Amino acid sequence: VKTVIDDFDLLFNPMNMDTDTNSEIAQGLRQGSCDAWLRLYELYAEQLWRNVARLMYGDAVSVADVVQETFLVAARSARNFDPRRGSLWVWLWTIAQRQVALHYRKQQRPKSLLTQAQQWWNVLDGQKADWIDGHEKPPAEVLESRELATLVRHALAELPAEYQTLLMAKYVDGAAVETIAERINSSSVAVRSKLARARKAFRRVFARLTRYTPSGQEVIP
Amino acid sequence: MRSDKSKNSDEQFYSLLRSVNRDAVAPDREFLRQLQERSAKEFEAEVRSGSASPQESTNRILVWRVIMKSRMTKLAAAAVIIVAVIGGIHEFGGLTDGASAAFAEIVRPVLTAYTASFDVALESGNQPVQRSRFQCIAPALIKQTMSDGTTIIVDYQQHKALTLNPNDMTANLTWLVPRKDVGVCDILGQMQQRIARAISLSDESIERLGRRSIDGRDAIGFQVELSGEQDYVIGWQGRGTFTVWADPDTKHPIRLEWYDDSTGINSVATNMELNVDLDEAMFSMRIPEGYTLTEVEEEPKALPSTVDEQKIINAFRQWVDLSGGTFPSSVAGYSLIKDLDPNADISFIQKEWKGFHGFVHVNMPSLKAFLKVMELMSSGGLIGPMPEGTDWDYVGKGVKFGDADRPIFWYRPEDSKTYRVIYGDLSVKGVAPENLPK
Repeated sequence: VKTVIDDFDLLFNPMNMDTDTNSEIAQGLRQGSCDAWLRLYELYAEQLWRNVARLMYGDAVSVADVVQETFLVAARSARNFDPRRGSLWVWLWTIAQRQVALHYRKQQRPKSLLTQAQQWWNVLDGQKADWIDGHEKPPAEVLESRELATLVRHALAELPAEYQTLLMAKYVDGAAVETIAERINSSSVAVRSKLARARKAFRRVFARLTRYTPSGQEVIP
Repeated sequence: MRSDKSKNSDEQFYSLLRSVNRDAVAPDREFLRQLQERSAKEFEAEVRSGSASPQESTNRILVWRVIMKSRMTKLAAAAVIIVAVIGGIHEFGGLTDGASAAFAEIVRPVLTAYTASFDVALESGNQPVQRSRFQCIAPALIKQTMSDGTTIIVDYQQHKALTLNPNDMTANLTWLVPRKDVGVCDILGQMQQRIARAISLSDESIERLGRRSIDGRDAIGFQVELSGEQDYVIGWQGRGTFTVWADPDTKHPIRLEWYDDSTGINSVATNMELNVDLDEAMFSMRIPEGYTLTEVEEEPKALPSTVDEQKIINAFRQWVDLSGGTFPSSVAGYSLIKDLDPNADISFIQKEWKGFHGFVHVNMPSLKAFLKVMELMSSGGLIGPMPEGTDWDYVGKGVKFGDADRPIFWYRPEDSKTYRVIYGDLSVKGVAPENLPK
């Protein structure tokens, strides 16, 4: 199992697809064109795998299961895709997000991992609130920890699909705001505004997750 | 107008988010190549089996409208949904053949209900099941009778709730807080919102559960996974599983279940009577004879129509006087208490059902600070309620009073293209949207 580290910018990024291509594929799908489906697949398959892998736990078989289910479900409903409801990528990712949730619903492991991560966070020293708010950088050992990855994954998983895709495009794939805006046929101001709301939502969810106590009570901000 | 601080914040966020790359498995290209073939065959098979194009199938599409004629209606009903079956218009899409169309057919009676009466059971882990009878005339009148006889009557037109406890013959009259309390009591409205979200999904999201005996009756079932929409006002995450069982012949719903991931509470509705005549007198706010009115809360002020900038500045000034010169973590919620007294114990308890009164338990050692914060919060938060639809944000966490370079709050006045930004020295400037602080 190879671990993905820093090669995202070198690989295909679906945010690099222009809106004309998006429209052409959408039209082709509605007309039942297999070529349109193959174009969609070629454009998104690897990026979908990478994003699914980011939300899961280093288990190649599970990632493959979720990616497979996502594309099979998408193939069955692609003719109904309506570009007025969003981009192809957000549509595809919405299906993937649901498949990730369905996969974990059947398992106990993520819950136990989350509990471990919450307990780890509770005993950490440092200005944890400032880490979340971005006022201070967490120590390297925290950033590299498996527990932090677990908490971030769970926080991301609770966000709407659009927020997930924006945050991952901007902060994990490193796409520029202008690029994101161009590809989703929006303005930079609107994308920045959505990103601000997405960050806020992420921080709220993260804060709620990390204020968990073993007694089963949550402390609200 | 991006300060070094905001750039730095962005970089910290970048490093935090990138932690998801840890242990992320790289794409298996051979697997993806094989899946390309399989998915293309699946797509072709779907195209071959589809007798009608998506455009042709829209005659069976349900069209949704949300009534938002007045603020009262919006606040009261959360979302009042009218469903009309008309041809030729494709509003939401996704409903063609298969599970979603069948699902739509059996949930339509719930969505179109203007009155409803059903039993509700709330199941949560090892806690005793809380049972009640729910009755409503949509969208404004609600009555819920708990198993111990306690009755809660809610009138969203008057923004009032009346609790009658026959055990000690006491009555409690409460004014509902617009937006915050909406939806908490409205079980039918919540159900309709979830169904509305579910029904807009496509076939793949809806699982057929087949035929089973439910509550002694033959039934067909469907299950929908909802991935969630954040609602921080009432704390509902909206993630969970919605299940409906209905009579296979009449399509009348027999049992509706909602499992909420965030609370672990399973809500079950049974014995549903839809569109039956309900006497409005049963929702009367009149205190019955023999009852003693024990508590009446003060009537809340209506939402303002414009932003009172000076009032907001005054509130911030009052806060920094109280805090010793630092702006609060947030302008709403109980974090204000924590800001003043870090030892305050604020817990969210979800052990028992207490109706619209909520589950917040506060145990704060400093009564003086607590009372002060309560006073500040009495109008809906530190800055008071904002006009409906105002675009605003608070960004002053940790900022020291007097810091003229640090923005703490911004909002856009109605019909204005620019924003008003309040800084740490409480000065105000007009700012273009692209220069807004993050």
